[in-house]
Amino acid sequence: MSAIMASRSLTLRRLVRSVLQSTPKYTPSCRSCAGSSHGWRKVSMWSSPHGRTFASNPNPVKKETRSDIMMADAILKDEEERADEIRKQRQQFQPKNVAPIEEVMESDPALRSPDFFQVHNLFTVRELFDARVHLGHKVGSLHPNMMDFVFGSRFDSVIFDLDKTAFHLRQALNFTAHIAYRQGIILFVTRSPHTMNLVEQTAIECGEYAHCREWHTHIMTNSENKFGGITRLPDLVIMLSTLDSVLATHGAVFDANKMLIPTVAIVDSNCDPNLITYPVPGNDDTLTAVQFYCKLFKEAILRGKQKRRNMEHQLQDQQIEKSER
Amino acid sequence: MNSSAKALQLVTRSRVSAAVCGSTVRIPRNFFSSSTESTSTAGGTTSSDPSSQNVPQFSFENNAAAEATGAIKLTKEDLDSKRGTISKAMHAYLKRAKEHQEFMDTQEKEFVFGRRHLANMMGKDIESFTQKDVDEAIRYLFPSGLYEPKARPIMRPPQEVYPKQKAAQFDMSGRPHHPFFYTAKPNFYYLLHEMVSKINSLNKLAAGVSRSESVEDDSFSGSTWISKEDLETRLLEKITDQMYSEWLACFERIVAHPKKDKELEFIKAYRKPLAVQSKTSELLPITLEPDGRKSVHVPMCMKKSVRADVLVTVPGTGEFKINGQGLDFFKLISNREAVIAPLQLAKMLGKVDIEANCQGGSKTPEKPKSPGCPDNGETARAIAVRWGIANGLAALGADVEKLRLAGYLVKDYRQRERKKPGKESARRTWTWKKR
Repeated sequence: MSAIMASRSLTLRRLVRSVLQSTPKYTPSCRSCAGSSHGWRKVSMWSSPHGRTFASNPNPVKKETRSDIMMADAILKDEEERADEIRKQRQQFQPKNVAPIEEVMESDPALRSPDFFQVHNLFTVRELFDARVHLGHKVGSLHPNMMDFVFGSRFDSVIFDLDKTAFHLRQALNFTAHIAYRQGIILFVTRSPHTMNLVEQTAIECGEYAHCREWHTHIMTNSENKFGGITRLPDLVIMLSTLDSVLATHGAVFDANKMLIPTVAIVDSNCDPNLITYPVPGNDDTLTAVQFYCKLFKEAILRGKQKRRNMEHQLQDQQIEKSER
Repeated sequence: MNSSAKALQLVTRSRVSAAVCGSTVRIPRNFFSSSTESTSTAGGTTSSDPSSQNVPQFSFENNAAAEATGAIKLTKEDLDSKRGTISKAMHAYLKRAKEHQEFMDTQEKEFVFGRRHLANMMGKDIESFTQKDVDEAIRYLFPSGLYEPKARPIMRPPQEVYPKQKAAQFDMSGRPHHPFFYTAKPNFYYLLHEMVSKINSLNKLAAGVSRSESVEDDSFSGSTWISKEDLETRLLEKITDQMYSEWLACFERIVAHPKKDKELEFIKAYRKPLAVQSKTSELLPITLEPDGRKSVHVPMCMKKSVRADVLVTVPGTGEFKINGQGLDFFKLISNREAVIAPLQLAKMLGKVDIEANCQGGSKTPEKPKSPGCPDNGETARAIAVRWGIANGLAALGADVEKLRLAGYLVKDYRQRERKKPGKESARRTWTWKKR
């Protein structure tokens, strides 16, 4: 164990050093800039659509100095001490009647597998494109935090990088399926009037919940008074649009954060993804896109529930076998 | 839920799931380990007393109507077996329901005891001592001079006195029954959702039919939308004025749809018939004339200072006799038209005889107001006679609702306003000149 720790700290040390003396690198291997003969135009606000502005980084190339090494060592020492402290605290406050996380992870096949519900085969990038997920708003309304998910711009409107969208969407679907598998309450939220009925219908069809009306902050933060007694709150909030009817951030985003409820949200180019647990960059206005998301989330939830049912049947059979013996 | 599912719960409801699921109630591992232990931890919810708690079944129409009096009874064993999925919310609800039930039980006992005591005091048989006897005994033993009946002493069964508690809206694991539970007005918003779904399906049917092609018909003329209060009682939820107007707007869209016939049943469920006012008003008596004809005498037909009485006789030849003259008693064409208007409306023109006698009207009949206006109280007389004719026809069996809607049956009590000193007439002032 100590050997592993030592080697880890060695690699860590190297990493920190490399960060401290890092040379900003700009890789022109991205698709949008390499050929330059294609119809796509780079968004002028940053040099690479794949990352932050490196060109404007004023740091010159630095050689490794003695003080740098000392600084790195000091930082690492601090880190190790802190990790030790955390480990001690964990042991101290580990509830005696709750299984440790490693044990649970090991015992549960759903947590062992990286894609237990096979959500990767729910959609292809081509289907995302066909559903017009790649279309964002005008470049002028682009939220700075959304830059990482953008491929480029066309006719002054933002185009999302669908590879990235697919990655995030798969993560979100996997998480959703896991929550459904664990019998969590899933709340669909949107405020856009033209998709409201569709979203509500989706929630009903997969046996979950919807809130597509005016948001009152007491629903989550003061639920005991609002519903006249202790109320179980949702375990996951799925937002098909993170903006409310006046294009401000939806109240559910803040309230879910206050109540430590994870959120899965479709974030358009004019939305802030920062408070979202699983942001999915994509078009949240077009009906085909929203229909597509609804179909995917419904399917993921139903898969989670189906797995749960299969599991229960399996356990039942095992019990019967045992009793027969 | 059987024990195997419970075992599964045991595994999954551990720290990871609790951490993943956010607000899920964390149930410790040894909570389920043995039945004796769980009984002790459960505390109040499973006492030895077999008091039953109910779990109402959800229905979109009427979920709150299920009261806290057992539809499905849960025994101690049931609760034990369901311990795996019981949530904090359900625990709290069960505790509340149990407290309420205990309170009601003691109240019930006290009521039975009190009734027995009352029967003894009144010297009556306990078995045949009804609620009516209780009320009488209370009135006799505790005479009250208070005006308001609600303030007087009463003795009623506790079920009538204490409000019924709303049943739990969620199941054992705390999952709400209604998909729109978190909107806090689930029934109302489900109705809106249903209506929009109907509009969408109608739109699919009406693909290609333009709005202008829809024919306006008055199939809903005799009814109106149910009021906000009615809607509230039907949905068992308080709604705001804005919500009600939203609901109305949505329904108006369905009614304006060219394919609305498909949803007539749905629309009619939310309409109520207009109250027919004229049915309640009294009609004048019909007298039989010596010549076998029927007639109605309408006394005191009034308009301003005119007082008239009208005799409508049926069957007739359409003869008019107004102060001994024919219809040419009225100089103005408009006044003649006013008089025959109710007859035209009731389609009785030429079928009845009218005899009218009017007094009053203008004090200066000889002096016209202006050369172009030969009125001089003539219009007031015409309106008075018209009122008499309309009432007579109503008594003779004409369509009262039509006459009422046309405004012919309204008695005009307005009088001429007197002239004031310092003014040219009632209100008019003389032209003001500085000097």
